[in-house]
Amino acid sequence: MEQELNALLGRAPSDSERAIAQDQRARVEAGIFANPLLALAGDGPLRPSGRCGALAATDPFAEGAA
Amino acid sequence: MSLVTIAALQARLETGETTATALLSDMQARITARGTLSPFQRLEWERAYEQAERSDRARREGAPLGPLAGVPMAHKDMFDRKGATVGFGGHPSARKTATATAPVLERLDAAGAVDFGRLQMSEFAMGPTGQNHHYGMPENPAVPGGVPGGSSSGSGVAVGMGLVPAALGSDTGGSIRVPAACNGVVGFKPSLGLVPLTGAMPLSWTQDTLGPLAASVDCARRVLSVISGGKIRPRGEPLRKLRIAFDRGAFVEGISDRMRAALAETRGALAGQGHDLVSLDMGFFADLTEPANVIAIAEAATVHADRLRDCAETYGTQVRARLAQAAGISAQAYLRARQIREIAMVRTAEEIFGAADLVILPGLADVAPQAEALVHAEGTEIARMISGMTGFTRPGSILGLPVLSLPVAWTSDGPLSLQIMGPRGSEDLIADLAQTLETSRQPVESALAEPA
Repeated sequence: MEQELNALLGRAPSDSERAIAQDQRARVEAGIFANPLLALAGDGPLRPSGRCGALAATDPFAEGAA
Repeated sequence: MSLVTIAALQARLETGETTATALLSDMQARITARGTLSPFQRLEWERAYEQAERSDRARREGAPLGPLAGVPMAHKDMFDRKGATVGFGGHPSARKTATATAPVLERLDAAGAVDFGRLQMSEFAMGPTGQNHHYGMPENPAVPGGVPGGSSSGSGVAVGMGLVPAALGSDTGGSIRVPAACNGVVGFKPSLGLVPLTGAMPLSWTQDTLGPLAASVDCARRVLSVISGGKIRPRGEPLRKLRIAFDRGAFVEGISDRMRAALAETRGALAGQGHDLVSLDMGFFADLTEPANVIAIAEAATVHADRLRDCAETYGTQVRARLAQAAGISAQAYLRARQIREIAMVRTAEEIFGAADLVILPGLADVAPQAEALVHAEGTEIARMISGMTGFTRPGSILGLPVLSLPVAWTSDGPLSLQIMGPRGSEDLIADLAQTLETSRQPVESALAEPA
């Protein structure tokens, strides 16, 4: 985290900036990696029996339903 | 406060009651008399008078006139015009002189609009309150003490004050719709990709859109028609019977009683018009808030990477804090957020627009929140404050859908606005429906006394 903040800000982060980035990382865990929309049914090529089986085949840059 | 509309201005121009130059002169006098530049960032009278005189000359000579001939407009300070300064709401060191003109401005110029200045905005279009670390916050004319909303804060305020009939804004997470709702004006965010972004400040490529904030639906669709290159009709047409969806409860559970009442009033009005009302579970829209934020922050941090590293201290506290969030977003998190977007697009097409033509959602949970409670947010409070103001606008952003924000009721504390959202390319249908729901700018608290 410290390294990422240094690279982003070009200097050592303040305590507040460190807390913000840590808070964001927690939000990513809850809101992205544990997002209910990822609980797809179906088999994917990499994790056929996993909770996110079909997700492995989802192109993140598709505009499928546009 | 009465708003100025394009139709009313054009009627006066057509009858010869006034001229484009006289309208501009009147505008200059009103702005000067106020004694403050706000909500403007810069006024550019010299070019504007040239445009107005050109419009008047064409009218006198019977030459063809564009659809916005002589109409005075000002825009968010983020569009390039060759030879002019653009400031992005940032520190003075971020200003640049543009070397080309954005296609949206070229299209407005060709339509005869008179562009007389740039309006205040949140710093680099990051912030839903309208507070700007460097330049303060324009005053909300509809809600005393309320935030004007952002990031197109000046655009919402200028229209809400009756200074212009329409102003361009941008919308990445709600930046047209939130200030439209806060100031009680119309905001029209088009489908992703409908309006060219060239020459406009980038924030998040996956979600950036440009559109008008306007005094009426008619004003908004006329401007959107021009800036989309004629892809949208400038006039309404009679509606067929529509299937209109409302959320069954989970997504909108945090709204105020009076917003719930406004939704109920709208349901009644639509049923009275003969439309079919559909009750759908839109709970998964709530799961799009963090993916939309992750995509926006990761892309914004990329846009700002060099400047942030070179001169982080020229950013205001809140914007620097938001960009620092990017350190907590890994590459996998960004790609996962985009996968969630794709999954949500498919579900929305099947579950929502398979059952309904259009969707109606709240714009905000209630009237514009009071400034005091929001503008001093610090540290981790900022993310929660932003989520609170953009919770209802994020789905339209991440899904790339067209959404119109419409004031539907006026309480003694300010306006209540709803969003009309449709599938991509449904702008005409959205505007046609919105025109049947427009209400006068009168307080109607008594009509909203009973929650649904």
